[in-house]
Amino acid sequence: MRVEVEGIEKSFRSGGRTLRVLEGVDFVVEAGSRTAIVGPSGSGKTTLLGILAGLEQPGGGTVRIGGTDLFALTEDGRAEFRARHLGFVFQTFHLLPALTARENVQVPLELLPASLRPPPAEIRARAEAYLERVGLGERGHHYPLQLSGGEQQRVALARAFVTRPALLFADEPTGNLDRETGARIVELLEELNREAGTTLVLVTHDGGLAASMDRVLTFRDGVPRPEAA
Amino acid sequence: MIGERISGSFALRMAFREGRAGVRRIGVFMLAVALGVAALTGLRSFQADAEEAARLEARQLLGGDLRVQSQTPFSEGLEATLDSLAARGHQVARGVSLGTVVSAPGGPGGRLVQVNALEPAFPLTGELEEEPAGSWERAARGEGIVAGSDLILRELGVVPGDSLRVGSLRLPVLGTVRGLPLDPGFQTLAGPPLFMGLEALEEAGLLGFGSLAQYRAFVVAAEETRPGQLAFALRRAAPDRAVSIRTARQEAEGLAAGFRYLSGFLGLVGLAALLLGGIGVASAVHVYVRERIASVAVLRCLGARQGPVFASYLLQAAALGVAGSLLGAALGVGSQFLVPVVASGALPFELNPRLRAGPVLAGIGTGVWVSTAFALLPLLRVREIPPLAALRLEVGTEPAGGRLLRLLVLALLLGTVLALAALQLGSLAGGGGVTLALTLVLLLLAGIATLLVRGLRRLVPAGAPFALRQGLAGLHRPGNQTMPVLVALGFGAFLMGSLAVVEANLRDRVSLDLEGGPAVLLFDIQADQVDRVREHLRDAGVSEDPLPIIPARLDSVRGVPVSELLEGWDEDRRWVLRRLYRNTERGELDLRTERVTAGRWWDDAAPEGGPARISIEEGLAGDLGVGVGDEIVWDVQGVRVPSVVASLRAVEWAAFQPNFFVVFEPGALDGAPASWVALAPVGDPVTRDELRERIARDAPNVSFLDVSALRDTLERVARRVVLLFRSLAGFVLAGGFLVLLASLLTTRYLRRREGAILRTLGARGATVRGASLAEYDLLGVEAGGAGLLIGAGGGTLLLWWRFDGAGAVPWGVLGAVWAGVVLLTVAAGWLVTGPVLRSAPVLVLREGEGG
Ligand SMILES: Nc1ncnc2c1ncn2[C@@H]1O[C@H](COP(=O)(O)OP(=O)(O)O)[C@@H](O)[C@H]1O
Ligand SMILES: [Mg+2]
Repeated sequence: MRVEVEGIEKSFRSGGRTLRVLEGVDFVVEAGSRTAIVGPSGSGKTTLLGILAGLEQPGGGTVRIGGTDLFALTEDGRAEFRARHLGFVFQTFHLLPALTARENVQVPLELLPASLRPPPAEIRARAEAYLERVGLGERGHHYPLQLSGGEQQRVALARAFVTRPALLFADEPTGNLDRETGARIVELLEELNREAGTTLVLVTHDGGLAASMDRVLTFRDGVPRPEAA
Repeated sequence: MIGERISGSFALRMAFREGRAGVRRIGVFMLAVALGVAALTGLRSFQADAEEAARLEARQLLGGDLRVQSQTPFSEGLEATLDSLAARGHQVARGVSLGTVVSAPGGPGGRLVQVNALEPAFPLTGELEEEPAGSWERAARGEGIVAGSDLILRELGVVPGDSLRVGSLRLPVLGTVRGLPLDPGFQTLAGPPLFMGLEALEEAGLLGFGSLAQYRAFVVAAEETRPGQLAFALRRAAPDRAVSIRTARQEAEGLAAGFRYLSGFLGLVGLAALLLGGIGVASAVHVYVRERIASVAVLRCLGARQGPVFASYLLQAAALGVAGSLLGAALGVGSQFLVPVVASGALPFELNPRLRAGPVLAGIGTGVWVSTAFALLPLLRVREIPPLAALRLEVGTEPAGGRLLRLLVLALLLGTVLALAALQLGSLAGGGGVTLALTLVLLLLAGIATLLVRGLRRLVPAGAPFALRQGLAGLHRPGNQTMPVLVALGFGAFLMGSLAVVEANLRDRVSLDLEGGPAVLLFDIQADQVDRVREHLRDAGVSEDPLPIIPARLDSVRGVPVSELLEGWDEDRRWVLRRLYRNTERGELDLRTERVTAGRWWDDAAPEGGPARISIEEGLAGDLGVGVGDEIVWDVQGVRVPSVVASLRAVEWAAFQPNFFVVFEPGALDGAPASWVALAPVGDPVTRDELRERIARDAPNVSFLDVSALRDTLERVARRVVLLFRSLAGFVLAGGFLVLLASLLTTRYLRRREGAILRTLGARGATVRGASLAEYDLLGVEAGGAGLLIGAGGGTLLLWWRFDGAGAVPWGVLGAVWAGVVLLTVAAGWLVTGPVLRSAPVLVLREGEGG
């Protein structure tokens, strides 16, 4: 899915002062491409990603994904849009602690509108298949607390991919992991991108990971700018 | 040494710094502790107030330094002794109090009241408050009647100036008075008494043989004489234990013991609330500690030793315990000062509440101890957190060494409960029973909760609505404290459930109507009136005959004199030997309420010359240790009457029929002094009024009780008791809701984050909210259902054990309470977490706001 970003602005007010974080961001992400966003801490990467996924309203500007204007939709409309088309991977995993690994992976499928939702047995089978893919086939009945950080992130990946989203956002997916585990996660990401043609947009500090993407946007002065990859 | 001091202050400093977070986390659970402490403090303070008031007012309550009381007129010897006391300068005055029916002519049916007839010399001690002045003086002269309070006049529907029918007299109501001796027990149950002159009472013809009268004399000792000495002299003149001789001091002690018993029992409820608070604290600390694993590990990495770190957390728990207990004590003292306002009139004396250090300190001490002890178990984990946990989050091993410690702490907790319950009841066995029952119910609740939560998760099909399944999963949320919440709510519901069952059964049982319609009860019918009364009854279409009542005491059982038996028996069983039995004689078994369980009912003529045959109720036979063929000798008004047990009977006491412990064969008691009673259905109100008029004309001393009047009295008593129990159960249920509220407050942020994650994954707002509602619904349904069911079971068991059998379970009431619990649970959940569920999903991107 193609992402068109136009004139996105965002500022935060805190303690009476206004902090301008995004100052007119414009760029396009081609369908099926892989884009890395890099920049120093606090430069606005997470803020941008949140807006791209429709989690937060921008101060101004538009985001079109596959032609749909995200912020013309209602809050629930965006939720349904995410359920159908988007996947998200967080730096801190964000698994639902009350659900087992398998149940966590099932959630996005279960949230699909009834017309698109597979029957329960298939939901389960697909969740198991994706857990298998990330090497956790045996751990489906474990709760997040019983999994290590790397394992939790792999569950989060399976959860992000189980609906075969057209577009996947990842916010420092390897930031909390050791180098080796991080490398496995990246491998998985790329594998899934190759197979399903998923558009990847990821924020990272990892120079190596950024370099392996098609394109790198670097944040400077509130605006991500393209650099030679 | 220096090292010790440094780590000691380290613990304090850490406790202080971290405590700021702790207050937010566990603070709410302290409300539950506060509730329990409030109950304990309030009750103990009230008890102290009541005891003090009883001591101060004992003379006035008793009516003098000394009271002599008997169900039969005093013997000549006793009268002579009283006269000689008066001659020696002691003040002596006499009175009679009796339960009888009075009515306002033309007003609604009669009402059973206590009438106190006294000589004009009263009050012997203390001040009289009367309205208008001089009322009592006139009443004492026989000019009318005065009331113990306005209340009773209102209930009778009269005002001063109207007249009341008392026996054969019509007496004008002169006013109200306070300060004359009365029977506090009767007043508490049935309401305040009426007072009149002693001579007028005799004139009213109420003192026939067998009337429910207490003959009394009051003595105020002259200077320099100890009441005890007088009591001794009187006792020699009336060795029969049926004559009670009581000094003001004994009266005060008796009253105080009564209040101790009552507040000890009520205090159990406070204790239960406190324990729920303890459970809440334990679970909150558990969550808190888990959140603190990382910081503890860091501290350990930085070189902190186990002890001080542990101590720092223990200090935090204790500090919160102190805070909760202080709050509770303040609430308790507040309610102590409210009691006199709320309960005025229900108590026989005036309370002067004052702040008492003892109960307050005891309450605070108990609260601090319980919250600290309950915090100990989860805190043990702090000792077990290795420094390594700072490096790897997923360390979760439990060192084997902790097991012994854990068992010790568990033993400490059980010991705490046992000690508190035993202290509360003043008996180790009672405390043990309560501890056992409490533990059993809590374990049962916990077991059912586990089964249901686990089982439901398996049972709910994968195709069920997402919100339902998500709500169910929410019960497993780490830190959700589902179990303690279910147990705490369930316990409140348990009390409600058992109460509902017991109440419904007892109410069903005491059905006051006879088959032919609403009943009338005629009592104190004298020998020469029986035939006339029977005729009037026949005219009213009633076929029942009046039954004779022959009062008698036990003289010997199986050849052993009662005086000898008394020595070997416990105080609480002796009553069976001493009491006045109201026996009857009858030819037929009353098939409606009786059944022979051993021996044979007499259907032949009495054998010549032998002892009279009797049939005895099986429970009493058990108490006395007699069976068929055993001999019992009765003392019937001074005449020894031998009898032999011919049969044992099971009697359905609750049935509204005249029932008797002991039935003699017909003719056995001919010539013995007796009075008669009749209980008869008279359905038609006109016939009933006619009957009342004819009886009043022909046999004015006969008490004619429209049972609906009795029903009022009984229901008033029942309502008071039920209200008391209901509010207590409600109190505990409120404690359960506090635990729920606290858990909701502590999981608010977790829920907010969960909601945000779901929204990020594409859940609509309604789905997120639906999942929450489903979770609260499940909580309420489970806790309420399990609690009420266990309560219904417990109530039924209690009925079988105490009342020989249980009837129907009031499903309607239980259902209503259940719905109430569910509704309140959902409402509480919605109020606390509804707002946070509406926050924007972007929250997931920001760490530090989660958890
Ligand atoms: N809700 C908020 N309120 C105030 N300031 C915010 C808020 N969210 C983000 N910021 C600020 O916006 C800036 C960009 O944050 P973020 O997008 O998280 O940066 P990055 O992900 O690049 O590290 C930071 O300075 C951060 O403090
Ligand atoms: Mg960031």
